[in-house]
Amino acid sequence: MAAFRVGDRVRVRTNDPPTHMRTPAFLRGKVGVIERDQGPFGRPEDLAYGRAPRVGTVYRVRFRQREVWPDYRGGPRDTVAADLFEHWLDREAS
Amino acid sequence: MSHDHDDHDHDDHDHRPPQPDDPVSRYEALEQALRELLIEKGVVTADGLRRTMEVLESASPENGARIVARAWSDPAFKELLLQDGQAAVASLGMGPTGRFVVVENTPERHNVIVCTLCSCYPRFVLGFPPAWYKSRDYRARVVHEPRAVLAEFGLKLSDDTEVVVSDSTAEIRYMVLPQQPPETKGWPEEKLAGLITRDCLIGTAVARA
Amino acid sequence: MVQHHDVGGQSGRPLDRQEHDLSDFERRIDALCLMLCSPATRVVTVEELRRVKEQMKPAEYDALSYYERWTEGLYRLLVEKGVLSEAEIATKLRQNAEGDHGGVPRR
Repeated sequence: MAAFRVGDRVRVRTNDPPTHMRTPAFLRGKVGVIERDQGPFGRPEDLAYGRAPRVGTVYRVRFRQREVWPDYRGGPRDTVAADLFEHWLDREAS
Repeated sequence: MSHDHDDHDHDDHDHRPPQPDDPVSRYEALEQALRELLIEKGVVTADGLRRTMEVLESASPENGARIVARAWSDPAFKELLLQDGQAAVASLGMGPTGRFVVVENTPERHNVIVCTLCSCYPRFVLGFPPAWYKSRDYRARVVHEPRAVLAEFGLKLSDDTEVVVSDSTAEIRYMVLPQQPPETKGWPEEKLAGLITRDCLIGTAVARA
Repeated sequence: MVQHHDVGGQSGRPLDRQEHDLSDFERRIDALCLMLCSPATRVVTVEELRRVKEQMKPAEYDALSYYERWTEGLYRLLVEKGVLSEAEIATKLRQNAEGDHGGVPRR
């Protein structure tokens, strides 16, 4: 079952495993908002080694650029979104 | 984070077109060897490979232009497209696309697509990505300085516009639904499709009449 | 540690927006990888192909063009998974270089 709902605030985990993963470094530790439930997908960390994958929900998570980049020079409303696996997300108090 | 990690001058490799008198490279020979062995062992068939190449070649930005022209002309289709991209595309006889999400440009919001980790691109709809989309420079910069990158494409956006960068980090592929130029309301779909370039669908351009 | 392929947010140069058509070699290796990952064949996964490219040393990764990386990555993965052996690939490369295709048409 999906762990988060649209509108929930989440923080991306800061793990740094020496493995294949699809969580970009620039978003680790950052707080964003769940924008869309993309459905269930196999974990890249399992699929990358040919293992039967554990399955989890992927969410499109939206981040304010000014929170991602302290030196961000664009508009104040600019955002960046990425599709992240639920095992990389922790709930953040709103 | 290695913010000034700038020791790559190798992207030129990704742009250098092969020359007619190039010797067969190690990698061309390796591709041939792998392909032949896989066919001999029955892992793949020559026919299957030919069909796969045909599928790849048949996708092109014209597909995206048709999708957008229909969305501009048919509000019910547009609603389906934004909610369930792959179903909308299938209803036009295209695909299968895999998970496909279309993000809409509005007067307040401009979308642009990237894949920072590799080079994911909606290739089953739009065909092969342009070389710059796969380049390290685009992938590195557009998430951090999207407005500077868009300015290189001649696109200057007001600070009031929300620029949304979508990083294709999982198996979902993105395409931008550009804004329809107001003076083109009521145009036939074929004429509308002619306004929509590949870069409009990536978000590095806007549609102009 | 930020992995070498994980470039989001790093500095970079103005874009080189020159377009070029893919060569036959590039189209063939693309189709071969796609077919090997397809549900019907399923010899490798997309994530495995990404992983072997990411495991290349940075200097090696940068020295190869985009589709050269695909080819080298596929080679390593097929050997790792035991789909093909290094020895048979070496033999095939040698035969092809000598113009002896073992009775199998090249294309």
